[in-house]
Amino acid sequence: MTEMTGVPAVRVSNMTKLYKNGRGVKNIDLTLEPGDIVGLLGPNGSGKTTIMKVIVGLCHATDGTAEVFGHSIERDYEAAAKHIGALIESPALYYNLSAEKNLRLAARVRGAGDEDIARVLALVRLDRYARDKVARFSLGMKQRLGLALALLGSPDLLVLDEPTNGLDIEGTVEVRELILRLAAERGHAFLIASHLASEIERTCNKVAIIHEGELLSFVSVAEAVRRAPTLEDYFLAEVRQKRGGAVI
Amino acid sequence: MQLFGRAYRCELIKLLARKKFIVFLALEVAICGIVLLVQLAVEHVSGLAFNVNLRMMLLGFFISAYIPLVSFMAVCDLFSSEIQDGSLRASLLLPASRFKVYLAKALSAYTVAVVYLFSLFVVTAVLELSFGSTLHGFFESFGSYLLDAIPLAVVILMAVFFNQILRSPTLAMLLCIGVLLAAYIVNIFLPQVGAMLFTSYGQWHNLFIGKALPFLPMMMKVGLLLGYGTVFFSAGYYIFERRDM
Repeated sequence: MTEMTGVPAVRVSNMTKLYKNGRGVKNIDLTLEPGDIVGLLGPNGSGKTTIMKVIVGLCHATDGTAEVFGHSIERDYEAAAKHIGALIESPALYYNLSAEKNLRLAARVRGAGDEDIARVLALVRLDRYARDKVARFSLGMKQRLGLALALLGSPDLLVLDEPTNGLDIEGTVEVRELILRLAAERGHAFLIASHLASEIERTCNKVAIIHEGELLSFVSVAEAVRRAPTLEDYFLAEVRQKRGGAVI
Repeated sequence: MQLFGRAYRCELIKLLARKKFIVFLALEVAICGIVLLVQLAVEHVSGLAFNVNLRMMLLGFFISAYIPLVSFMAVCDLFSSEIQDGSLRASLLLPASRFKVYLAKALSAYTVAVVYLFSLFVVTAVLELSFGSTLHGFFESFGSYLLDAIPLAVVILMAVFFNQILRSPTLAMLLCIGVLLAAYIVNIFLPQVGAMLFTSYGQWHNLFIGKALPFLPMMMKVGLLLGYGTVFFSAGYYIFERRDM
């Protein structure tokens, strides 16, 4: 699948999503271009996952719009979803099925073939365990299978929520290298959520700071580390500024 | 349409991967065999030939209790179980609209019910043939099976609706069984109220075959069943569509 030229991979305009308990995200504006690797950085419960869920259509926005390659996720879901591969929260897997069968189910709807299943299994180093039931998988293996599902069919936009969660050091480095390679070689856009500034700093070219449901800043990682010694310092400065405290 | 077909096949594959549906199908065959053996034993002991139509004799039990129970399990597996363990997100992240996913799930549960129903027909017919019966009234009983498959769809849509309200598959299963049981009890003790419930037409062939109802009352019953089906389907879909995962 190739991205459409001149159209942003994601355009979120004035998006608000409020849950019944009053929490959620407010007035989010975000644009991702093809080839961008954007990190959503914020503490747990800040609204990173909610933004992702609205973009992939798992949640309905209370207000505002979300478009993927020019297609509204609300009005034109199927056209938008063809471009999306996602890993949101814990991987959504059928535990009574093997890794291969999980992928085959998704491949059937995505129109992907056997070669693609073999390719993504090899990418996440699960080819040896293809016929094993997911119920027997470790946390890291489930996470890798979730990544394989997201990569199936080579979608133009990958929305990954804490993609290295549960992975060992080697696995974390592999995932990071894979993301960088796919963005550089194929122009895939990535939206990655993490509460680890170091992870975002190493992987992403842009960062969106999310705090208590608000987008505090959206800048390039290079700009953020120019303004502060590290991305972590930049994040803390933005949060303190929001609270009306000291500014770096 | 092609996308819907793929989504439907995926849902069916998920159901078939669960061994319990094969086990319950085997149990259905075993029940048919046991009933036939009991009938033969009674005939042998009493010296009387009952000449019972096994296909029609077993249809009542299976259509009112056994197949609805299996269908409820299928619906709970595809809806509330998937909501509870989060695997529903796997279906919702695919490029098929929620309407197609909802319809594919409901239709695959119905497919399981229909497979059970017609397996019953085939098994009972084969058993009757094996034990020297002439299969009298073959087409009439086949028509009865066809007609009884229609109200089964409404029972499944009811289960689909309850599965949108409750997130726990156990509670959803209990609610479905409880409502079906309550409706059967109402049918017995308050037949006038029961006539307004969709469960009173479980054995739909009674309306059409044998002592068929006049046209107008029959159309009223068809309309009532359609109404229940539409309400369950629409209300269930509304909740499914608006659900945040």
